[in-house]
Amino acid sequence: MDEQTSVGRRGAEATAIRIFTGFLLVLLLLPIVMVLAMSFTSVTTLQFPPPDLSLRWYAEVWSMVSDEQNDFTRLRESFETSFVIAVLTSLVCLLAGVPAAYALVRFRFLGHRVVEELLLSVPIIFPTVVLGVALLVIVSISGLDLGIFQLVIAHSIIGLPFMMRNCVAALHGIDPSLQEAAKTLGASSVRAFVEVILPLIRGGMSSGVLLVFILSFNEFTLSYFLYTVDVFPLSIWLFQQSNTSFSPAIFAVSSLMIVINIVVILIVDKAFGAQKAVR
Amino acid sequence: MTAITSAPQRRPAPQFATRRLSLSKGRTVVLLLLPAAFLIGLLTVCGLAVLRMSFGRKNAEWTQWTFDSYTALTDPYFVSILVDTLWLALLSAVITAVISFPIALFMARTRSEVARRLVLICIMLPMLVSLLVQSFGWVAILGPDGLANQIVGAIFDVERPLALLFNRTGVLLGLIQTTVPLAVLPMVASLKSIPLSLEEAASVLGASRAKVYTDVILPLSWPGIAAGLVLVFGFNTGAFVVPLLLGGLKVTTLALVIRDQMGTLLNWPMGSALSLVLIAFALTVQALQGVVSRRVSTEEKSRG
Repeated sequence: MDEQTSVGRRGAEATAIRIFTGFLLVLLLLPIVMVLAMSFTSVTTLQFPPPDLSLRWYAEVWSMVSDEQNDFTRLRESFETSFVIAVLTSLVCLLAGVPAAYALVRFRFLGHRVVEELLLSVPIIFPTVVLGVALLVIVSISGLDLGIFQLVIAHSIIGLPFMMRNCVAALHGIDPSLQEAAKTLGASSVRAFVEVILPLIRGGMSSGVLLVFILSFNEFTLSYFLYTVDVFPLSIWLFQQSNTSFSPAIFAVSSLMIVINIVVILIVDKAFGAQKAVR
Repeated sequence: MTAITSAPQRRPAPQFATRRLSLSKGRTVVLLLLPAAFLIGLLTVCGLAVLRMSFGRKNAEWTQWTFDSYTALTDPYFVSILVDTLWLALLSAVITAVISFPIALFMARTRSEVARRLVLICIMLPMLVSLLVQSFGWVAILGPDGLANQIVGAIFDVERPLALLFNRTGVLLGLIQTTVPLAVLPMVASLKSIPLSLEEAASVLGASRAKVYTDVILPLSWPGIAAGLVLVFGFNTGAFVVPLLLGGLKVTTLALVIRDQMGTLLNWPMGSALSLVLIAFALTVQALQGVVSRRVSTEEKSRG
């Protein structure tokens, strides 16, 4: 776009749009900013602005997490549970998503469109509440005790499309002649897939894994229906704490979750940017 | 890519070789799709279980058949919740679209890649960060002595703090804040496809800037706006976390009633019938989405 040609787009109009956008972004981020700000309060109430800044709530959270004797609320256990669930969910989505994405991109087969819709869209549009209650009913009538895998499978269902979309996009960027070349040079299909395709879609795969990890780590609705006394994820811990005692310690734990989220988003953004630069 | 995969079918001879090739190809495809099919299969089982239970009777969900739950849907209580849910979703979709438009304009026009990515991250954060965590932030903003009431109290002379939390206002704000990227991204795509020359032509022909917006930019970006409206509407008809956390007990949406029926009241057939209504909404929205996106792509094609 040339500077000369953007007739009416400069000057007052551009400034207005910029100011308006900035204002809206501040409003959109306000809840997140407030959580971060309140976590540094020095008092036990939620008054704003905090009268004094302190790290006392972080210290309290740390004492709960580091010393099992202090962990009356089982914060440490919930954190570990959520972490393990998120790692396993990413793994399941990776193992299920990569081959399926490859099948969708490289082969045309009967019902291709239906399969594509089922894998890439249906789990996203399917109401999460309905999935939650239905899984709860199935678990309770079948009497199975899957322990932690109850939530891993539930999270994997809604995480799969995000993994697949990343992999499909990455696979579309590969020149199919590369795999043909590998085969011509004598590599088996499996070897061509492992040694040519997989390294080329590493960016898409890692974005997918991180996205699914964060999705599972944050997930509330399915966890709300499927948690048990033994499998008690962090989001449910936060929910119960907010119902019993609304102390700033909740804000400190929430702030840590926000920081984890931001770090992951920045990594994904960087991976995407790098991918674009390569093409 | 299509050339390679469809080549064996177009070549008529040799018949024998083609068949063997497609057989082994079929097996490969099935094997590749198997793990994902397990997860989607489970989702399908969930849908079917809900469908079956909706025709059952309480405590005999799997053995009896009846339409009772569907006739109960016409009960004024359920109708009012249905209308309420749809109204809240519609209102949030319209407001989200309005506030998303300037953000989309900025993203479509800025020449700085850094600025575009920064804005993208800023609008994605409210969608990705746990709604539970953000609801704590909303409590600190909208509560009786929260940020909003302090600002209002400083400017106007109000006797009592405004009730913003645990009612429709709070829920609406939460629904809007978390769905902005759903509206912004299709709008950016639409806005970017408008050639600058059209805007220039309009101004050369004497159109004011306002007229350029109403007669050129808005009509041409309409497919993107419509896609955003449909997405936000669809997303918010199933809203569960936001009304649960910001609505107190005053705002009841379809998803919350499903929870009550299935969980507290243990009326699985009723909860299932309501679930099917929610699934029907989702499928309708998906179909609308398909229509809108086809229109976007044909328009892009016709414009070259």
